[in-house]
Amino acid sequence: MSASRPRAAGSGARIRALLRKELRELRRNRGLLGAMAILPTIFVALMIGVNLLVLHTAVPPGMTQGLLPPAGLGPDLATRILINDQLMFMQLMIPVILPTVIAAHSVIGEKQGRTLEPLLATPIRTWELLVAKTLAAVSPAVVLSWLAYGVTLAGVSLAADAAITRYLLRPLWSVGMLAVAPLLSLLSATGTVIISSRVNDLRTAQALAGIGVVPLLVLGMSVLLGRRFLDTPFLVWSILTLVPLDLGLLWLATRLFRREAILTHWS
Amino acid sequence: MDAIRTEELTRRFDRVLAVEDLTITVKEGEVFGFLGPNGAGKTTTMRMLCALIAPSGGRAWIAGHALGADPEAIRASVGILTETPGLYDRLTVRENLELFGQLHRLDALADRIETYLGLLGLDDRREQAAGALSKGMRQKLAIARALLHEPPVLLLDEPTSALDPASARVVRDCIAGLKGQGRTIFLSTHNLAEAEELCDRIALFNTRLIRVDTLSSLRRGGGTGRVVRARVRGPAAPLLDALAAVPGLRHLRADGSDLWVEVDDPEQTNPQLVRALCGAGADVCALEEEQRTLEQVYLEVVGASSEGARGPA
Repeated sequence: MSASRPRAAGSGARIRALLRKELRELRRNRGLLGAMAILPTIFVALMIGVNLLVLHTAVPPGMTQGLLPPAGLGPDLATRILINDQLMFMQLMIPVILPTVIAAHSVIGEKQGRTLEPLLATPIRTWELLVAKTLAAVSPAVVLSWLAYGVTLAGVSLAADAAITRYLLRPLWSVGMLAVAPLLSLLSATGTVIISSRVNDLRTAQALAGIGVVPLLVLGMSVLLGRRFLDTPFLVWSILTLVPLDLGLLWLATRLFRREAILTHWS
Repeated sequence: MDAIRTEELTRRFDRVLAVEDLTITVKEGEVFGFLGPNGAGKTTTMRMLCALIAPSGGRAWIAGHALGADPEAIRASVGILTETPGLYDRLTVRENLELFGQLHRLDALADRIETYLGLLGLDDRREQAAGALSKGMRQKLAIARALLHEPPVLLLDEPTSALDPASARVVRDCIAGLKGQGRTIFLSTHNLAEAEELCDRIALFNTRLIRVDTLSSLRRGGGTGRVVRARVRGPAAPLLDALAAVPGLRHLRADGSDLWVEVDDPEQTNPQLVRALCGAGADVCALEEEQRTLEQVYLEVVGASSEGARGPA
């Protein structure tokens, strides 16, 4: 009996195979999909609702005092844009929070389902496994984030002044949602995959993954307190920081993955 | 060529020695039983043999690949059936196989899947979710998954544990079928009937290798002869002196009306034994070759090793 000859080693094919499996499982887990849709729905509804409310409410004088409004705007429009910017910050939490739901389960779930050992007994390499797991957590989160952004734009354009929609389409948010959201999502997912591969309890992984949102909250607060103004240089700086951070974290995840310990010490 | 060869293979977890100096060879096409109590180190050994965990010491070659040199090549050459099937319940039977075929980068995957679904009687379940299968069917799917890349070596870790008798029978028949195809199978089990039915050679193992031999040799207690029991009317002990002079009889002992002797050639020696007994005035009621069960051998050998390991009280 001879071993069948596998085709030339292909990391891409193995990653795609595992990613396809993960997405199939997610598609068939309607409870999880529904739960994942709740957060974007709330954020979108909140943003459209606030715009509807603000449109019919006079901005109190002096409300924008001490903040850093976009230059050359009247106080009413400046305030509304600042409010929308804050709400958009909440939308940026979608690609940060949603991947943790899937990624927390990534390694522990395989271990608890007793599928990790057969999986690791294939020629799949650790980094391939982790990339597939990370992408499986990132892709639905990013799709939902983009969908939420699209629905928000449509909703705000109906509910608010056209100038606000234009501001939501400025590069800070359009490029931000297209480029920063996936990068943030990758960071969050990879961090949670690391947690999932290092703790042996799903609840612990979920609790620890929640901490990943803190830096974004701090940034949001600093904007609200006028310590930081969101502009294009900040966006470029964010992208340039996130790319090496994402790659570095993935490298770290591979280094921290203790194949033997997971197989032999976890019950 | 040896399908598996280990030399003083050892694995230690902190201060616990799980496998110590294991030296075995498994020939191509052989079904090799690996028997031992719970916690003996069987699963650890199998995990080392498919490069899932590294040994602390010793060397091994699996399908010609040295352990530690190229883990991916070993994993491509080995099919493993873990103690629990470990299937993706939300995926269908076909999708489960498809995933593993893609991870092994197999050609003509759809045809292979159909072949193994047919071989294991799963063809009418191909679009059924794995989570909806019975335990026996799940185990068969796990076997199909282990076979899909046609590995030269199959490692089966307690394939029928936790199965009801009917499901266990299905899985055992499946393994017998694979044996018929000439596959090399390393079968870890503590189901002795299963080992008796399927294995060409059996290793008795409890952290260390205690004994390795064919089933018939193990039943003979590892000796070269066969044990014959004679039942006589009345006490057998007084007859021992009369038998001492008969050539070819060894290890004579008596217990009540029973006499046991070890002989090399029963065809030649048994008539002499009966003549000697009759000559000594005994009424021979029965004469039969003693067949110890594997369970008796196992309890004797592994039990003794456990006692030895515990040391004096």
